[in-house]
Amino acid sequence: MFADELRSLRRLGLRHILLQILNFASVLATGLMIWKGLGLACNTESPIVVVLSGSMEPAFYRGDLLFLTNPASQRYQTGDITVYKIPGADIPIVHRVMETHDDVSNKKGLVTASPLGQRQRILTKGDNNPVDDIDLYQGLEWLERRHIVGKVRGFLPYVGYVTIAMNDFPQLKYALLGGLGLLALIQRE
Amino acid sequence: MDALQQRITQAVEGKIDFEGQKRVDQIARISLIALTAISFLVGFVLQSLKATFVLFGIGTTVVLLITVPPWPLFNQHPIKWLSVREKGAK
Amino acid sequence: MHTTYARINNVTAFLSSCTMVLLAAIALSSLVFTANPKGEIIVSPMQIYAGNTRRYMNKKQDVAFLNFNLTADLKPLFNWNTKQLFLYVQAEYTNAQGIQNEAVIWDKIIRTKEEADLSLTGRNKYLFRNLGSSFKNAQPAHFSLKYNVMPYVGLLTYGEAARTGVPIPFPEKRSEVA
Repeated sequence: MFADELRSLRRLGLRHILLQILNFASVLATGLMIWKGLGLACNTESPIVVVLSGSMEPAFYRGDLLFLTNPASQRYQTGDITVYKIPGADIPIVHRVMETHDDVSNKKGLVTASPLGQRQRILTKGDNNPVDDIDLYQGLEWLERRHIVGKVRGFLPYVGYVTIAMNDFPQLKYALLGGLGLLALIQRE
Repeated sequence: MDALQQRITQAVEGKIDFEGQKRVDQIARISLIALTAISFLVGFVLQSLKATFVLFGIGTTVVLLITVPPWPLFNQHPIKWLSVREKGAK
Repeated sequence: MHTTYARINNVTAFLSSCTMVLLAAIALSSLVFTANPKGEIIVSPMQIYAGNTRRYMNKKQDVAFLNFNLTADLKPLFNWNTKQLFLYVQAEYTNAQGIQNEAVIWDKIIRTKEEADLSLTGRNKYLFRNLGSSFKNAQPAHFSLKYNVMPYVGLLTYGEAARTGVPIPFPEKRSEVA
């Protein structure tokens, strides 16, 4: 069955295979550059996240895709949906801001102009959870700006489910990668 | 036996001729663009996303049914090869 | 010549482009709907009791209670791309230390247009507490009714439907409740 493919591989020669590998690598590099560029524009480490839990149902379900921004000049407000990551916790959490407490002036009595200079204490809660998130903060009393990855600005349903499926069934990931790689090598055009 | 095998491979490969190829590309392109525009407009007028996606789904199925199988319609212009010259003939 | 596989490949590639354009068009169409409905919120005088809260295990912390009336017709916010409204009542006040506070005291998810014509009385659903142990010397609080429109696909938008005209002062603490 594979005799045909092997023969075509041999016929194409080493240079062709190397070229295809380079093409493949450049596709990967482009993807990475777009991701990092988006992150730079949105001021966040991950501009796109996949919802992993049902704690924001019925707004967001598992597998929905969220687009984040984290503008440095804006404070967080109640009602904003944030994605935050507590040091020590392994996955980021998508929950809504319920309380904000802004220290407007600092200790010397000077008023800071930028929201970044202010200390902001935040409390969050999942729409689908009965109580707020204090128990998720791993000992912290409040969430602060440095824990927050970004606020949700845009929404696309279902699309992220592919990544969840790949996490749940690792074989799928290898099958997909292998298949793509083989196709890239064999393709003649 | 060999003939049967050949027919099976032909059915699986489902080749169509160059004229058919051109037509399939045209049909797919025009109908999908029209389908997208129409389903958006219908949904917008009816204010119903359900209408949009039902229409888009049905339309897509129809387009796939028309373009994917090797209908005889796309095989009406077989390539006419020149006949093989006799060996040694001038 | 074209095989079935090649045709599936071509058609589905073009189909995915079309789907993306369709989704983008739906997301953009939300920008056409710029409804900004207004309503009314009336907040009755607050009452403050000392209570034990989950936040500090062994410390007493003052908790404010209040009732409010909401009337607002938010039906215009529902268009073909509206999945749900997240409606919330927010308290805003500056406390004795000069810290600016915002707290959600009540919220409701509205999923259909029929539910969106609101006329209800409610009380705070979440514990309303100050940062320290009491509301002493905090400035009077404003209350507002806000909403977050969540689409099926596209951008999340926010708005304010109502706001108290006169700020509500924090009263003295009442005797403790059991």
